[in-house]
Amino acid sequence: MNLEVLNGQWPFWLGALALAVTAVGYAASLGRLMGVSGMYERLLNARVELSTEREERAFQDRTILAEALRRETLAEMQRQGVKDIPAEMAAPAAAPAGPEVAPRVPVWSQLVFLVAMFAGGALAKALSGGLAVQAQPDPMHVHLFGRAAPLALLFGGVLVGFGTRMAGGCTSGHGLSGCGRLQPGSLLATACFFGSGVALSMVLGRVLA
Amino acid sequence: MESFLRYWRTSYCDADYARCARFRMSAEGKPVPVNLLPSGNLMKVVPK
Repeated sequence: MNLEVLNGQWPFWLGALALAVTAVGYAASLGRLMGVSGMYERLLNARVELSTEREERAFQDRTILAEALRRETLAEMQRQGVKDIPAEMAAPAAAPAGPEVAPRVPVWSQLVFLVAMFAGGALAKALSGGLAVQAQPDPMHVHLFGRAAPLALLFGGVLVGFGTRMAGGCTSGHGLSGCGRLQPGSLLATACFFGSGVALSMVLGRVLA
Repeated sequence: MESFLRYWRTSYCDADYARCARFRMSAEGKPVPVNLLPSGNLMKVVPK
C-alpha cells in the first residue's frame, strides 16, 4: 500500500473526505447530528445523562407509557379542579402507534468518539513522522505573551468553550452538520468562526512582523 | 394517549409555556428527563 500521500502535509481533499465520511456516517448510523462540543458537554454531565438514559429505557414500552400518562393527566386535572373528566380520558389507555423517535445516543459512545478523535489525530501525526510531545508553548505565543503564554492558552481554551456553548455548537456541529443542512444559524455561526479567525490571523501577522 | 397529550399542550404550551417545567429546564441548558411533566412532577412507571 502506498502511504506516500500521508507523509508531511496531508492533501486537503483527504481531510475533507474523512470529515464528510465521519459526519454523514454519524448521522446515518445514529439518526443524530454530530457535534463535538455537545459530546464534551454530555460527558461533563455524565451522571445526569446516565440517569436520563435509564429513565428513557423504562418508557420504551408504549402501553406502559400510555397508562402512566393517563394516570398523571387525571391527577393533574383533579388538581386543577376539573370535576367532569371526559369519558374518552377516563377509559383505559390504548397502546398508540405513534412515530418512532431516534433514541438518545448513549453517553459512553460520546467518550469513544472523543478518544478516537484524539487517537486519530495522533495516528495521523505518527504516520507523517512528526509525533512528539511538546511541553513548551509555541514560539509565537511566547513572543506575544512572554512567560504568561501557558495561562493565555488556558484562558483562550476557556473562551472557546464558553463561545461554543453560547452559540449552541462548534466547527463540527455548525460547520459540518449545520452547514451541510443549510441551516441559517449554522451558516452565520460558521461565518463568525472563520471570519474572526482570519481577522485575528491578519492582526497577529502585523504584530509579529 | 392523544387526548392526554392534547390536555397538557392546551394547559401549558398554548396557555402559558413559561410555567412549563420542561421549557424552564431546557432554557437553563439542562438535560430534560423524559418523564418530567410540564407541571414539574416526574411521571412514575409501573412495570407490567
